[in-house]
Amino acid sequence: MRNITIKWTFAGAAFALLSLGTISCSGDGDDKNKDGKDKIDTTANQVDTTKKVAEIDYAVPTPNELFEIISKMDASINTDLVNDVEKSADYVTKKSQALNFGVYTADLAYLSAFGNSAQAMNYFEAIQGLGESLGISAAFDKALVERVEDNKADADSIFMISNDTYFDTYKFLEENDKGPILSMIIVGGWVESMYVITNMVGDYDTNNPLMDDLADQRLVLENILQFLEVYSENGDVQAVTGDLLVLLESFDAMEYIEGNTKVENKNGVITMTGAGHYEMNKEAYKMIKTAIADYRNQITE
Amino acid sequence: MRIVFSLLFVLSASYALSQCPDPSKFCIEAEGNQWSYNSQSKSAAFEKGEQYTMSFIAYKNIAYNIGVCTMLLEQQDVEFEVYVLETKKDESTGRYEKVKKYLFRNSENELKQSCLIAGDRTSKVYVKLRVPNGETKDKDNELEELVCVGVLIEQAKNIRTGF
Repeated sequence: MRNITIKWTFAGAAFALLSLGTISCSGDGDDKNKDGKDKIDTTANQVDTTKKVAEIDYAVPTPNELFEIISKMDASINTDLVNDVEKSADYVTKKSQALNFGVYTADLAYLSAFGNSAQAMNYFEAIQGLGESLGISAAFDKALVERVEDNKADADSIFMISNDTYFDTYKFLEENDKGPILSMIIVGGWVESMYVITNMVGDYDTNNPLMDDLADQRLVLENILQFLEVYSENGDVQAVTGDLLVLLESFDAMEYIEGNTKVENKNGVITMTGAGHYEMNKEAYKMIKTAIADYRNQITE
Repeated sequence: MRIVFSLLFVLSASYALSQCPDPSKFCIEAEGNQWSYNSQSKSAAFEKGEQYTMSFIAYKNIAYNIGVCTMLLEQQDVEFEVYVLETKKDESTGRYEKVKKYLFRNSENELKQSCLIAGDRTSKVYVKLRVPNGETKDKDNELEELVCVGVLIEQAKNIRTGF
């Protein structure tokens, strides 16, 4: 296995977005090599900027999925990391409300994943308040409020309810054509998750398994950027996209380890082993941690 | 009059696109209580005969069951494939390119409507399906040429893959 480094060169935010779009487009398009395999050119200067972005529906995992994995590791909670609920009333623009709705959703997932149901309850209230400001209070029906109240002492139930809340909000926004707000909620949730995890980790440690999980988040960031592209005509989404592209540059300090995916059918389960992946290093980790903290503080200030 | 019809068509199409229920409501769930719903599941309305592609993040060491379905009146098999994109260096040009690596194609598997995947690395997985023809359910809410398709993703702890 050879080590290679793939760095994306960005002539600018728009160009980079088009690069991402072209990757997805080619991946699903009809470009084939002599063997009939689809081929994509990732060389930045070869990108055809006139090509229309393919219609691939990009999904993004919830903060709960990530915290569920992290909570199974040898990690402990640090309640100083979450954003202060008292600040929720200070967010007055739609952009700051949506981003911080996502931030508080991730905080709720973090607190409940690590068993702090008492503090988690305050975050439900903050989320509900911001939801009203965003005009999505219908996503918080009476049944949900009662469910929260009935289970407030049970962290596992609160964790499940928080995941359902995120999902219900997601569906509500999608069904009501509020894609830009949804986009910013997703971004806020992801940035806060990354902020919490990088601060749980502390300094770079090659033996810490969370390093791999952080490196994997580059894939999630790609899907978020591709999700945002659909709403790129919205000014707030454009601004957020620009911020994420700065973050992406810090992720590009990681090394890409080229792999050769082996696909096998083991008792009906299709397994993939040996796939290429990004590998964290000290410099990249420092850059990612700093960039995430800067952006998170910009969102929550 | 033409403008009115065009507007009606657009409104109806928009309505249909936004009204597909969650795939958990119309796709067959995996058997066994070890499975839980994954919120990266997707549903959307498409014209019959079109292709739909979605991408989701599959975390390492977790098994995912991927099921596909439609809201056609009579059950019809959906042709689908699951793949990842591998980054490879083309030795002749020195350039990096992404190549499809198929995990599953149901055209080679008796048109099975679901598959089970797991990996030792977190991956960006693509699911591509072809929307079949047939009579649409719930015609009050949808244009006849549109049909809701769903990709239901469920997850379980990886217990049988030997990682």
